[in-house]
Amino acid sequence: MPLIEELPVSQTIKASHGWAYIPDTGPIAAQQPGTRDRKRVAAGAARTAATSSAKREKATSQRLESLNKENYRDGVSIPIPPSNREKGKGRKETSNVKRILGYQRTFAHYLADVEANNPGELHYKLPNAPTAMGPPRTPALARGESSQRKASTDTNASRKRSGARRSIADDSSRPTTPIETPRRGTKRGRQSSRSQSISNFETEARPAGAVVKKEEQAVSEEKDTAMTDVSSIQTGNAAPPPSQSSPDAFNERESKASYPLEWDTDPLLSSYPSDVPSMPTDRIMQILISEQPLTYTAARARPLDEDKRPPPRRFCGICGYWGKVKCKKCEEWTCGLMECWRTHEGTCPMANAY
Amino acid sequence: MARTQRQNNSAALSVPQNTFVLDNGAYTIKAGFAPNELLSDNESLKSCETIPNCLVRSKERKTYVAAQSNELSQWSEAVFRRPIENGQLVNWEAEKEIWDHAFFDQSTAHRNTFISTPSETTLLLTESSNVMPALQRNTDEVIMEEWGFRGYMRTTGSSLNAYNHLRALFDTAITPDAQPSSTKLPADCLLVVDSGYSCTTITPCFQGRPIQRAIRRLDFGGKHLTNYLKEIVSVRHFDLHQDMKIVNDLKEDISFVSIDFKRDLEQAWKGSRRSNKPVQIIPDAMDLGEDESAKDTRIDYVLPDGVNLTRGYARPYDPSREIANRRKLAAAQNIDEIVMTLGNERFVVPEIMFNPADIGSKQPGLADAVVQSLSKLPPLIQATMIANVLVVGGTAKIPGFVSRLQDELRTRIRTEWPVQVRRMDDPVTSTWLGGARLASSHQEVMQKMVVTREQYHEYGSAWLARQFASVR
Repeated sequence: MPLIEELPVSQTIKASHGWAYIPDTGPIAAQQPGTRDRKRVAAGAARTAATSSAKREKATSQRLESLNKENYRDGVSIPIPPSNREKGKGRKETSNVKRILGYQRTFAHYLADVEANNPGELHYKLPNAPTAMGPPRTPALARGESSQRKASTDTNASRKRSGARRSIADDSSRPTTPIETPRRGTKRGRQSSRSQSISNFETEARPAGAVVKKEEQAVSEEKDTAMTDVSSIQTGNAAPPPSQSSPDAFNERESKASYPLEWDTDPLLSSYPSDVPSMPTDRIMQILISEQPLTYTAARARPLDEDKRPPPRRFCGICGYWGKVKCKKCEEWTCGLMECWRTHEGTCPMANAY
Repeated sequence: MARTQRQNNSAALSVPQNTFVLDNGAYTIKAGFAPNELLSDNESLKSCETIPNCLVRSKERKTYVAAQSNELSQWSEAVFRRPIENGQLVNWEAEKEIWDHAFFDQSTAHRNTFISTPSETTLLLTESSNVMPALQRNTDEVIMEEWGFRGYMRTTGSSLNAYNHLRALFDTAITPDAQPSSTKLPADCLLVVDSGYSCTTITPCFQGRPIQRAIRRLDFGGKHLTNYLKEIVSVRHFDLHQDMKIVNDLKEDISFVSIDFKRDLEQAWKGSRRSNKPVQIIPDAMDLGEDESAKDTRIDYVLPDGVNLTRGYARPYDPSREIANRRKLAAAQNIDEIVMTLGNERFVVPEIMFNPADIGSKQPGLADAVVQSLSKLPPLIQATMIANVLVVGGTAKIPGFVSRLQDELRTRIRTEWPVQVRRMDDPVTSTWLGGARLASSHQEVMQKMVVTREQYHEYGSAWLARQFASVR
């Protein structure tokens, strides 16, 4: 997209002295006769590439800046219109308010202040110690807080570990954190015990040989119980279900099973319903809610990593269709249509118009 | 010690029932008194007024404050002064003028927004997320010292949405104990995508409180879309550089977000139409018939000229008009209306919200930013949040925005987790509505969060800031 600029109307070209000003695009390697020094040529080419991409960078950033503008003219000031209405019951402004009203600082000033106070805070730092929160606490509260703090660093560390290994996209369902493993174990124990009690009726009569069928039933039962579990959490009645007597259930299953029970916990067999992530404790959630807000710059969404970014899409600068052809001189994209190309030729900023 | 004192105080002087909810946005202010008891949404919204949050100076050098700008007919070459920049209230001089005009002056304030006795009213004010502390302090001091409200509460706007009536939007009939209306608790998990004028903020809220570490901001909003549209239209059709408001109206009238960008772009290409080649639609089972392939995204837009027409409007594309116009131009006659045909500008402009790389920006798209925000949460909370995404803000009104966001999130989230993205009927007043519901039916929460004037004068503004930031 070309920059919109006002061009001077007169274009006088004085024909004289056999030389003319041309825009500087860096050393023109091809025109230096007898340059056997390939290193220098390569460096020159690299430099040209660097400067042109730097120029392009500058052009893009300038364009993005212009997107942020409020008015078409910079430095326009609208003074407050003098009002001739009575100021509601003769309100007197305090000096503090007058001072604040008289501030001429802009957003950039405040942002610079914040960045000066928190140098290098571009990334969120885990809170090591909570900043002074409110009026001085009673000793009981302080004790609770210090234990909370310890728990928070533990959970933070473990959550970081689990977060690093388990992003949303990947499907691994192996338990990673020490906190979550015992919970999951108990949950599964609870589910199987419940399914156990339901299917116990039917299996009383049947011999233990029909174990496979029961296991299937148990799995489907498990699925049912798991689904309602998820939904109940979603509606916010979330208290993690109390773990029932898992050792008993385990012994029962062991006596009736005909295959090694470790196969049950094989990760290949795990499917989502039996692998619902556990509800974080109230303490964790309280910590999450009560954290201090991030600074303005730290809260900005981070650009994706280089390799995860999709290739940039180019559009024609004239009509907006896909950009198929790149102008050799000014690196502007155009679609294949002749009229778009002609229009661009006419307005190409780098054209050598003689 | 001070905390128990404060609790005693707040029990003694009850927070006045009269609450004024003020959603201070960069583009418009949504304000009104909260109804005293819980009403239906439509009823409550009748108390809400939308006021432009700016000072406008027209070409004739006349300045209009806030709602006075509705009298302005010639919008060409108007300049704006907004007290809120990048979502943060920087300029109190202008904001005080606007508030005085809109709320405290009986001759100019609307009936719904006139505050006759601030000393008997509680103010519920919203701000954007991650506001710089110095600006928060300025706000607190000006409000408490200038107008003397009885009670005051400042909170992030996004978290107020959790108090809205959302069951109808998100409920998929799993819950056996669904109450028909008026749940006493705020929504447990809600991911609010607030897409406003200056920026888009993604806030996961738990029990009505934002989870601070996961709040992310994308610096694209309605302002950037309007400026981009202005650039494009000025290059291709008419120079509208000086007409910010006209382009804003244009954007609101014609833009939409395409579900299938590639197909729409092919459709809108001049080349395919010229050669009379039918647009390539690969036939498959989902083919919806002839009308899909013949759907023309082009539209004619009539620009206002301030004299005969005060606001532009759109009408379906009429190819015969072009030929008639050319003949008229050839005969050097006057064209009585300024019309332009817009095709791919309609959907290319909102596309930069989802793909900022189109314009050269390194920021991630909206779906990627949501994923970034989610990655800071525990896994079960992630799953619940992604099933409860609410889009609020002016930019959410663009047709197709919500479905496009849902599609994009669906491709980024694992298949076992359901993805639901919804918006309220009017995304602009959604935050105000949440605040009104909080004020009318959750008095105990208000009691905990509101600060009274006496407390401010006793403890100062630093204490105030800590109160609003910490959870009680």
